[in-house]
Amino acid sequence: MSIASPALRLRTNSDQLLSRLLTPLLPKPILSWRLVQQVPRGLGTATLSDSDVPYRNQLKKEAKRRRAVKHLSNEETEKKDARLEKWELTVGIEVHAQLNTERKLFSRARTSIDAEPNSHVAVFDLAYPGTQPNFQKATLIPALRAAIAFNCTIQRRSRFDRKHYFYPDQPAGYQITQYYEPYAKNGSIILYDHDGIDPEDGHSVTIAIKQIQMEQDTAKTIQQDSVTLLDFNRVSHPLIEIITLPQIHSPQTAAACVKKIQATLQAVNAVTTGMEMGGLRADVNVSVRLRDCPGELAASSSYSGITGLGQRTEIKNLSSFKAVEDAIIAERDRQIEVLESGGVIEGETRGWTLGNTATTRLRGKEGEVDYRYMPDPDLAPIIISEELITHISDTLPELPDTSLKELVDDFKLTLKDAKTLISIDDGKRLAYFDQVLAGLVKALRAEEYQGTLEQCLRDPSITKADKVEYARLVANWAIHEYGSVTASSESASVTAEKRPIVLVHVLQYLVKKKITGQSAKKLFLLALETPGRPVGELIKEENLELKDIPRAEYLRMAQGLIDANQETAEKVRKGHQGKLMWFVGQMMKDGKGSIEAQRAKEVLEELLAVGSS
Amino acid sequence: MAARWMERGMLMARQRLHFTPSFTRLVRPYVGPAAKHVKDIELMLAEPSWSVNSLFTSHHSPATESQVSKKQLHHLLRLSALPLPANEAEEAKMLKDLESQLRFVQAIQRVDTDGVEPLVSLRDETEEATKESEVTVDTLKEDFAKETVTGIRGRIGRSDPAKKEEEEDWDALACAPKTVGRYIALDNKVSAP
Repeated sequence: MSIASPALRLRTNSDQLLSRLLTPLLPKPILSWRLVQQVPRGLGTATLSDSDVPYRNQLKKEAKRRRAVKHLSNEETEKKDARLEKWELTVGIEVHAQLNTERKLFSRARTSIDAEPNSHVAVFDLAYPGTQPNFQKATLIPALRAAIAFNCTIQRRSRFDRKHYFYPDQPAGYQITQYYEPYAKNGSIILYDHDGIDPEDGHSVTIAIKQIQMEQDTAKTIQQDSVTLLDFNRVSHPLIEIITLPQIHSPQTAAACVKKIQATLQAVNAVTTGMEMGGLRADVNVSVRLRDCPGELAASSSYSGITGLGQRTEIKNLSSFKAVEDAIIAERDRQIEVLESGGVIEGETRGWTLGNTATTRLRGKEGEVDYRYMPDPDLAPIIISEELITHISDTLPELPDTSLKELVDDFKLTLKDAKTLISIDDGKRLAYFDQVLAGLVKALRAEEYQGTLEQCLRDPSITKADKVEYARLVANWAIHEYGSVTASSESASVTAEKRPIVLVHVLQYLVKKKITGQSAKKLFLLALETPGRPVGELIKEENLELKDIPRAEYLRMAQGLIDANQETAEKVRKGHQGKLMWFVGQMMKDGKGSIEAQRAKEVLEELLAVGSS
Repeated sequence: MAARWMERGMLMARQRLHFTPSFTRLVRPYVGPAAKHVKDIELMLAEPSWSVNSLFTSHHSPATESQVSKKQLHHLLRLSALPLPANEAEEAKMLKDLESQLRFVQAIQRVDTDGVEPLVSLRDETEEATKESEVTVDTLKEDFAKETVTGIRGRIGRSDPAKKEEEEDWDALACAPKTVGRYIALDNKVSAP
């Protein structure tokens, strides 16, 4: 029996206190409040972050780091930091992600990202007295996709609870979340070395996910000098909070974990935007303990069922992968410093701003009791049918790990190219690659192919073995040439993604040696900029067709270049390979797209007697 | 219908609560359909069987001994976004009230609820009703229909943007005491509520 029965409402002045502490039955709009120095609890507003660094640069850095570590001798590793040998870091992560839904969690108001402030708000979202939550069942679709992608056990029955605190970004005075009975439990995420984990974690590490819960986002607040501006479009946007067990022992692995959580959520269409756009936010809890500590020195804190941990602190609102890594490093070092100088770690909430070298205290951590969690009596339990779980599981999009395995193991792409294809353009580039590859195989078989590329993808006569031959070529074009045409021409960037057939035709002529690689690049841009013109026609019109230039002509051109560049030629004779390629380049330039690089090279090698001396 | 609901609620409450002997005495016995005679009812209503006062007084912690410190009071007020006491007299009054409320709560806490699932709200918990509220593929068929699946990797997208419904058709700023443009504005320093 709930104590929140109206019969128990008392009479005195402090009724208010008791009722706010124990019986927060009616949502009240709390529009007056005292400014408390607190972190806003919603997902941070969009900020420019380090994740705007082009993705391939990031991959390069990762590869460099991996190589550097390989070359590090044991002695150097030992010297790295004696303190880290003594102290072990433990990290648990909470990721809040905005679900990709049409409507809010408890009203029919639409979700939005950049809409006019306060234009997508229902009365319930502003906690008008007497309004009732109306759970939007469709929000379960992305929530379940996320939970299944992380191998969670879906709870057939889950419930919503109220977490009470007063802050203007959350007008009811409580956030509706799932505290006692979350919808998903006991999941896991496997991080591999190619995900960028700490080399000390070996080939792979499995991080357990304790639970995933659904909850409301808060309003967007803008702090000004004398006022705080509130936009309630975001209030009650559905979120999931993914909570890992404290099983991470390296800042680098923690960042890799958040990165992989984001990639997985994006792959299954559970979220609309990533961290850089504010669609994801991470909180980390950090503690350290002595690695070998018998008896009385043993760390005694425990949480999430893991015992023997040091006192933890929580760092909130990290909005980039780099911030996750750097904040953990700074907090780890601070805690070791405090402990080594005889101090005690306080359980508290700390903040981190990018570019800082230290975390700063924000507030003492509220005990969970201070949130006065209680089941929300206005919301019925959610009952999910077995059949729905099966359906969502069966139709789950392919996860990035599976795509990566296919691209690297079967299609023999480099790890870097495979990761690039998977991650850029939110998965669209990989779809483009698939279409062009299947289309190319088909086009090379039949001169006149009438079907669509989408049909091609499902053509059972195109096997994986057929594709392997051209996979690297198509990947190279889908990454590099696609990138350069869309960068060089505005109109091409509009149409490239929508017209994969253009690349199919260009590559078809290239593979058949009807055009040179150089002409193919020119043709690709041209075809994208002039929609409606068949590629074959453009080749004729622009005179791009590879003419069968006689060997004599090659010899004449090569000799002319050698005569004009005697010094360079001498270097080639002495074995300077780079200079040979310079000659090849010059020949191709002079030939205006009619010279084949391979033939030019052969002729030059012959004339300069490379390799024969 | 309403009567059936009430009856069911009472029944559920009885099933859930195993009263301790001391508490049972305080509670008026349940009058079921068996009480047919008006006389029985009159008889029962003639004398009060318990009083709220009994909940406020009879306790192991004597009323003189303070259970709540001033620090705790302030902490609770802060959590509740309520103003701190203006003077000592007000503080003493608050503490006294809180003490008495706590004793009331403690009386309720003494009910033995071991093995009793908390009742969150009154709902139809029958098998049929549970089945009816179950979210199935069919429940969400319109939402699934809006999704598009492309490529060989099952990539999911959504076709059309959601349509505006009447729940959004009101002026969210109408009751805001202060606005700046389309924003609701709050003064950073306001007097305590």
